[in-house]
Amino acid sequence: MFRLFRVRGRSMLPTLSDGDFVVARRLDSTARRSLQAGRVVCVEHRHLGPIIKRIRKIEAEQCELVSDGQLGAESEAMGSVHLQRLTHAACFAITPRGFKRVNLAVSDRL
Amino acid sequence: MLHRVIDALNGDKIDALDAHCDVPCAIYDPAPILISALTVVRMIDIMEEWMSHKPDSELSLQNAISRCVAQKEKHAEDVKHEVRVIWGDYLKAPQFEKHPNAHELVHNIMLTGSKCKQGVSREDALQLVELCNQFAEMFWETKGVETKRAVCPYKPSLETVYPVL
Repeated sequence: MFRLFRVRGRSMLPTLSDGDFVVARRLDSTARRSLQAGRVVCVEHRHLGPIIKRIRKIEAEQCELVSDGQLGAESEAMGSVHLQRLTHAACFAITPRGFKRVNLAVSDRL
Repeated sequence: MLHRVIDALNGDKIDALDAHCDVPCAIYDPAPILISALTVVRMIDIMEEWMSHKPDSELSLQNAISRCVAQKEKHAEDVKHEVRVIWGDYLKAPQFEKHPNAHELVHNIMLTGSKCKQGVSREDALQLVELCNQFAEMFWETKGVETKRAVCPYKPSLETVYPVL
């Protein structure tokens, strides 16, 4: 049910740094429907492969993703992603400085 | 502490999630492409002007033509470079799905850009401007930005695509 991932890259700074570990919960169809904007999720992207991003917007069965930092792909480049492509929801991160929450309220800048 | 333990035990075996993309700046704009394409036309026009009136000397003519050729060469290459960057770094599968002719358009710009480097045909240069206009329109459409065509307010006074911001 829970799985550990390693973050590779800096597009999710300042929330997640390169090399951080993320503990994430597997999503079933019920859990996917309860997701909200602002949540950090693991995505099996059709073209970009396995990525970790924040949900910017959910409409029907599609969601838009966004990077927290300025170094990531633009939302337009990632395109609209079907909810079924969201595999896990991040719960917290394990960083060299300790545990860190990743789903703090940042919706004001999404 | 826990991070270090995980890292030491089997950090490399844990599946990675990418949080990166190739180009960090995310600044893309076709404006330099159009300016360079217009410059190619302008250089050809200037060369024709030089050839049509009497120069002070053969040396000054050669000097002027050489400078124009160098600029024509540079700006035609700039067009090709800037188009390649947007095509390779910015455009992704979702945009290609919406614009299935993107690859052909880019390829035509590459071929026409090379023609402009090799020769002094104004027709080729005008074709380069038109192809770059089409490329700019496609680019801004992917951004959801409306465009308009207007005659640029400087020589060579050709129709150019501008974003309506």
